[in-house]
Amino acid sequence: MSDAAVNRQRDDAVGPVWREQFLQPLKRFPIGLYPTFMMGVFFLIPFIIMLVVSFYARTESTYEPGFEFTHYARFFSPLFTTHLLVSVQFSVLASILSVAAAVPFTYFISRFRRRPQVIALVFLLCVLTLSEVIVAYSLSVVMSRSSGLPSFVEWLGLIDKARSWYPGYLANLFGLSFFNIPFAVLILFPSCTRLDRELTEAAQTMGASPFRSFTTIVLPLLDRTIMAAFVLLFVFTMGAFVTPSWLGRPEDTMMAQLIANQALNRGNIPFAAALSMFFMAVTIILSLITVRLRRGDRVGQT
Amino acid sequence: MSGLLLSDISKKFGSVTAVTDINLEIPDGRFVSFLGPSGCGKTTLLRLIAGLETATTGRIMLDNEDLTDRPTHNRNIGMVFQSLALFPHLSVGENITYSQRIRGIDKAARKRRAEELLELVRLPGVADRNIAQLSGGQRQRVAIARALNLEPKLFLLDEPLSALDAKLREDMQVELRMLQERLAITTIVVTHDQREAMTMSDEVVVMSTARIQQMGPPLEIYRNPASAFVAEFIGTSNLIKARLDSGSTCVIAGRPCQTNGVPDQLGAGASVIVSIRPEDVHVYPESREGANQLDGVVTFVRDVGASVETFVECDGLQIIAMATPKERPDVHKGEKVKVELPAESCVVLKA
Repeated sequence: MSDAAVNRQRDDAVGPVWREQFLQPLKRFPIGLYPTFMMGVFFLIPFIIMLVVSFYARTESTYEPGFEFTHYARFFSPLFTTHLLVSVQFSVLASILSVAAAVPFTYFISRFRRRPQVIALVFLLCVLTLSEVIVAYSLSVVMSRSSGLPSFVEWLGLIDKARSWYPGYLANLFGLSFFNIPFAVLILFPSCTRLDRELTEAAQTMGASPFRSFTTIVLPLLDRTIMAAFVLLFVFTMGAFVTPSWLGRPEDTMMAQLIANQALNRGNIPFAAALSMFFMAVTIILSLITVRLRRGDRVGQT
Repeated sequence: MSGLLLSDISKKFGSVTAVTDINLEIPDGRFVSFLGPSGCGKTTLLRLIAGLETATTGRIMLDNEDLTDRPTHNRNIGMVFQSLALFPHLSVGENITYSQRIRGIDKAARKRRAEELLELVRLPGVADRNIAQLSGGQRQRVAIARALNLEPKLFLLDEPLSALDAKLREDMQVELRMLQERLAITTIVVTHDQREAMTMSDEVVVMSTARIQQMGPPLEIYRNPASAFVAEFIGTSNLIKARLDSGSTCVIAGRPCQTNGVPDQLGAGASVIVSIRPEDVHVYPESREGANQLDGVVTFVRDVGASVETFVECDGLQIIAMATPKERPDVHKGEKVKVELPAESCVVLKA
């Protein structure tokens, strides 16, 4: 074999290796860059701006660069703590109510045959496409004195004189819970469908009524999924803006409204930024808890 | 009557008939197998007995009590599911005593009972373990112990051993049967494995296409299959096309052969199938005195050590003869031989 032939052979052997080592990563490079770029532009840069602004000093009408903890210190002011408590209260109750309504509902849907199951889910997804504004506005119509349920209840003779049910504590709570239910169903649905039918059947052969088998088998098996749904909806409700603005009373003002009010009406951008930072920290911690809970999902194990 | 009585049971899922025309009587303390290919309705029938499905027609009676409309949780049955359906969030002990927890029996008594039952299924000392820590065979035992906890009137098992490997499955079959004999509890097993059914059962109910094809003691069904389907499904069988002659004589490959009897409704000249088990067929290298002999040529010899199968072609019909190594016929591929079909082993079936 001549030298040239040997060299050619070596080139052939080297060729694919070279391609694999240099060309392939190059091809992949822009694809890997894309999410990094998007994260940078839409998350990291705004985050850094917010973080910096949250330490700025407030002036009479606007703000100027600085480094002070004044805004973070205001977390201990009654204005903040009151509304934080209000937000937490609404979020906890609305999450509990929506999960409590969604668990039995989702479980029964998951026991249906394929077709009715799909129909129910499509219907639910339709509700999801409605914006919070439309849901809140529709609910306010339903709860209004003239055209809604109050006058119907009056007609039934259950109350003497109809009056509007909103704005009010219960109206706000109902609105928040109502809006959460489809999300709760979507979170619970995968685990529910993976529940083996034979488990509840086995419980029934051992003397458990369908209700007992639900409480002793289904609920314990779904416990982590239910917790995950609760935490996610809690985070979700903490950010509620439209529903409490429309259906809540002034004293029911929640965190997102407070931030918007500080930023837009009072022009106190640094305080709004500090509030957002706090808010995000809480959200991230709770989301991490959710991830852990979901990893421990017990359904599907044998 | 004491025992289980099913009369005129049928079950339809929409337009699909899962089981139909089921009439069955199972006396107390019997071990019965529902045997059939997948989709034959055997599991549906078991679920009807358990109350997990509602019969479209018919009645289910247990010890003269009508169970037909009684919900599962009031039927006092023990059931082992195909998936075993052990509760993953409960320990072994809690799984076994779930039925007592439902009835509000205190913890100490439940613990004692769990130990007792684990002893019964020869798996002591695992009550505190997690289900995930057990092997397949151990889970099987836990599922059996759990089903037997309340000493049910009926013990139902849906393909209980299908998840185990072959060796363990054979051991468990014997063990399950011995346990059932000890407890004398009416037991129904659904299986598609005829060997399993024959190992364990007092009686086998052979099912196909939503109906009961034949029922009886395993050996009786083996020796006297009622149809070609049963003959094929229970063990292997030579199904030979033949024509009925006078009396109980059939013409096979042009030769008259005596059989062990002819179904009443068949007359002379009818096309029939003669079923004969391979182990009943004898092959000889030369002509011997006696009737029921066919001429044939050996086409293949399968010698697997424990048994020898000789494939013989007789005038276009393939007949397989099986023998133990000691009785091995001295024949080889390509040789002309005589095949004997003993009259008492020839079962005539409708074609």
